[in-house]
Amino acid sequence: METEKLVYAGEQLIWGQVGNMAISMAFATAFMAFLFYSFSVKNSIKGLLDWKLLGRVSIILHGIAVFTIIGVLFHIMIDHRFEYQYAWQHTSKTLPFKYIFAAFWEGQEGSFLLWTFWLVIIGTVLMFTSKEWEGRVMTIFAIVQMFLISMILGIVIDLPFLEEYKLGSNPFILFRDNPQFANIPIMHDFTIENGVKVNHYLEKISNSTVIPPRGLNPALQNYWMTIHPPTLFLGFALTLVPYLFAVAGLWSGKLSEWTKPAIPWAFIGIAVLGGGVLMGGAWAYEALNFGGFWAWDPVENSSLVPWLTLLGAGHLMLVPKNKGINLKAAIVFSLTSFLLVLYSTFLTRSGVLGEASVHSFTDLGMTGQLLVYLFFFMALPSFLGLHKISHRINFVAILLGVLALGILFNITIYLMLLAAVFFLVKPIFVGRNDPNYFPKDKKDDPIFSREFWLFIGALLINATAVHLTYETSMPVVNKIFGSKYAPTKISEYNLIQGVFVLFITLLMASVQFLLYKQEGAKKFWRNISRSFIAAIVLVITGIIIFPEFRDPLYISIVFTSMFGILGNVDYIIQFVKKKWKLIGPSLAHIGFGMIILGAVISAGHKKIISENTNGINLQMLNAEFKNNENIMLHQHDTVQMGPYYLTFVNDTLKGHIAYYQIDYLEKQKDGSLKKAFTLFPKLITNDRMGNVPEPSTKHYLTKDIFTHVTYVDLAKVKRKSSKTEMQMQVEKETQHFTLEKNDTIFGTSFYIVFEGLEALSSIDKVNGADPLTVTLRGSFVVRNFKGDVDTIRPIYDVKDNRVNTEKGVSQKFGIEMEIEKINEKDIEVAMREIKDDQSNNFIIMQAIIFPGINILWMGCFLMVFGTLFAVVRRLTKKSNG
Amino acid sequence: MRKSHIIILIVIASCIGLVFFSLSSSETYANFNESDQHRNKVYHVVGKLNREKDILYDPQSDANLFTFYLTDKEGVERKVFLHKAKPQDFDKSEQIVVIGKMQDDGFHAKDILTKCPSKYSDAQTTEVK
Repeated sequence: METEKLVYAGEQLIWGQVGNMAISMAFATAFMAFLFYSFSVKNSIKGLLDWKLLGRVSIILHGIAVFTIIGVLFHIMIDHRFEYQYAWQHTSKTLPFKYIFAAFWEGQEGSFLLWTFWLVIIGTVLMFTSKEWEGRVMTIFAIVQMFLISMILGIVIDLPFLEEYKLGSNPFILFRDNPQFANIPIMHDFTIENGVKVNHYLEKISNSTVIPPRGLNPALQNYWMTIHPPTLFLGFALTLVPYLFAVAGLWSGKLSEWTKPAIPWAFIGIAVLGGGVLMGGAWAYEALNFGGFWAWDPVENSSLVPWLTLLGAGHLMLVPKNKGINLKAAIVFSLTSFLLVLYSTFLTRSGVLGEASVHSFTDLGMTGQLLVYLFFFMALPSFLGLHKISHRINFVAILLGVLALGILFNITIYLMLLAAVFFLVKPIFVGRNDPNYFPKDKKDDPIFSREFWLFIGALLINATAVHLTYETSMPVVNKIFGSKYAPTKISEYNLIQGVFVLFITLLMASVQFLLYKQEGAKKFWRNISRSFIAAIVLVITGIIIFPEFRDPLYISIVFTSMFGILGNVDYIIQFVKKKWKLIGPSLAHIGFGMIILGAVISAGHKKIISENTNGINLQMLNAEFKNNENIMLHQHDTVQMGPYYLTFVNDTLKGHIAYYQIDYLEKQKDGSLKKAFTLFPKLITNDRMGNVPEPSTKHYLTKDIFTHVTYVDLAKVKRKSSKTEMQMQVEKETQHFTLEKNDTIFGTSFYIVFEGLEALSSIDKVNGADPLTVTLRGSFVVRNFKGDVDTIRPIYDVKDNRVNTEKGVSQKFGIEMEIEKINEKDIEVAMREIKDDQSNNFIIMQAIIFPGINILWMGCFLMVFGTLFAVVRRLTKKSNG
Repeated sequence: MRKSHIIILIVIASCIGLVFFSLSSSETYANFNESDQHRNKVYHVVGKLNREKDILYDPQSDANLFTFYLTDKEGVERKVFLHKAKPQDFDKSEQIVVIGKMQDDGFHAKDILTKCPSKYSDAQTTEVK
């Protein structure tokens, strides 16, 4: 019996086999590319053994393999092949096809594949465009690809003395191999068909009868999830290119030449990564419940930081005939951008962040692997940058020494990380001993030269990056030092980053008026004076008009960002107007200034209009914790909030999304209320992962009105959507009373007074012998505590001794009454609240007005557009000669 | 010494200054007992919800007050007054971080972080029927 194996009906294992073969091939071809290209660096023999050609062939094969992996995984997901864990976990039969991309990169493995996909495309372009750099650049590129593919290898390695180690997480793991489901009966049930034991688990899963496929998290089923990750990952992938060129520069000894081919890549990276990060902010603003554009969340920060270092690196690369400290900084910043991308991958994927982030990530057991990669790519530039064999040996010895110390004294891996940062970066400067190493800067940069202030600017940008990295790494710091620091408050981030951005925008306004390698103080002051004065006038006008405009830091940032915008407009007027092709950088700078200005204005003038003004229980609240941002809104009630009157009209459940219709009314001149617009904030229900509210926003040119449901009783909208439960509800709530005249019934939010019966027909013959015929009508007056009044009139009709009753209804209160029996002194009535739930339905909500947010969006667009425009200009100029 | 060196030194010095500034004003994690000893300091307390005791949210009377009982990592249980609306995913939360100060009647929190089984990816939590 036991020897007979189960046959699983309906499985198509071929796809997993093809996929895994492609993964092996992708790894092998990356390794081949690494070998061939590294040979090509030393030996440039043409002919049969053209290493470079072999390298190119390997890269192309590698690309084919990667595309095959992605294609197979897509096929598995589109075809709902739930025998594969990945398809089961991220898709379901009900998932609309348009979300298949979102589902693809929802998982770790898919997002690594997305990253690899972009790198393959970038690598292919690099291969054909990097000319004399090809050998070195592609060697390092191939190493990166090997590391990335290993993240999805999923090979279990049996190391002697150590427990078995799983390298990477494979996307083609079978559902039935998942240990979580190993003991479920349906995996072991079988029927005998033609003498073979056949198991039908797949059919049951596909029909969703048992353990139905998970599908994509409803909170992620939106277009942001389709466009944000690919943009961000393209940005992450692009940070690799400056790293590649900088390492190739260190390796070849061409310490300043590497910047030339790297500049366009760096700025494409700045545009794309910047766009991706801002898109994340837009997602948070539109669809997540952050209640704003930016929350300084660790995950947001860790994608912003590589952008900042890349921004610094890109600007320093622009300095012609770069040398000295500028050049060193350009190299260090180029290297750190990519390293920080790796670091943020480590932070967000290893579960270190824990409770510090609203984005919660689970540990896939790759922490060690990610840390090793981080070390490796930290050490690589220093290793290749040392040209003497003896130096390289010393360097590796130091590294191994640190590692050994770490293992010997059981110092945590995090301490090693810290040590490594100091040990590994230093050798970049060790090379100074070589006579031809870093070209020495003979004389100091003139104070009023462009490169000097570019350097200061880059330094400041990186100081902000250091601050953010430090704050984001707080959980890591806590682990190393055993401290207990909690995540920093948003207000503190705003303060520190505000001071930095103040200086950065100040430099952005003025540095372009300086010239390279020259002093020109007088001319400089004259050139910036116009925009400076204009900005001052505007800010003073603002102070006079807006009384809330008082905080000194806030005023200063508004001024410097305004100065930044105007300075660049002035630069266009003074210098660019006849050479419009040079407009790119100025546009990007104006865009950046507008982002800062828009962010500061919308945050500074943000007005929470849903503040509770009723003053209920205020004395109970500690003044310090006074928080009236949320307000309760009953269905059909109208409450004034700021300039609007809000009505909660209705709630509906469509699929798994509950929509709450909220009408915004405006007071007309004649005092009547007129509907201005309607918003539908929603609640995405998800029994498994928790319900997520999603705000709704009305956009105007000058302001946005943001509405967010913070709490609802979900059972109510659910009950309404299912009729049978509604019926049950009604049955349950029928109450019986015996009433005398003027008696009162107290309901949940109303009270009813029985005012008596009146006869609608003659009661002459009541005491006669004829069959009794009488029609009586009851009068019940309903009131609530707000003063609404209604009368319910049920009818009691007796004809030939047979009783007919007719219910009386109050639509307004949702009450139904029936006279069941009339006694001598009193009557018996049945009362039910027919729409008890609905009449008592309420939401807790928040309404916020964000002014000037469009300045920010416009700035985002300008910054990305301007940067790309400048890159295109640079590339076309180059090809024209 | 060159001008550029001086400026680098200034920038590095101000960075160190910022780190100290941010450390000195940083809030820290603590348990209820520590929080009780320093009544005027804001702490982040990590704990688990006691589902046996009252979890009260009565928006009719106050939409910005929510009370429940939290057991911290040391096993100490306190009543928590959250001066905010009840988080929508509260009932599913496994771990809770409350940010606030201890008072006589309990821990008054101005903010809360709830950690669900996993909100954005769910590789590890699976319930099997």
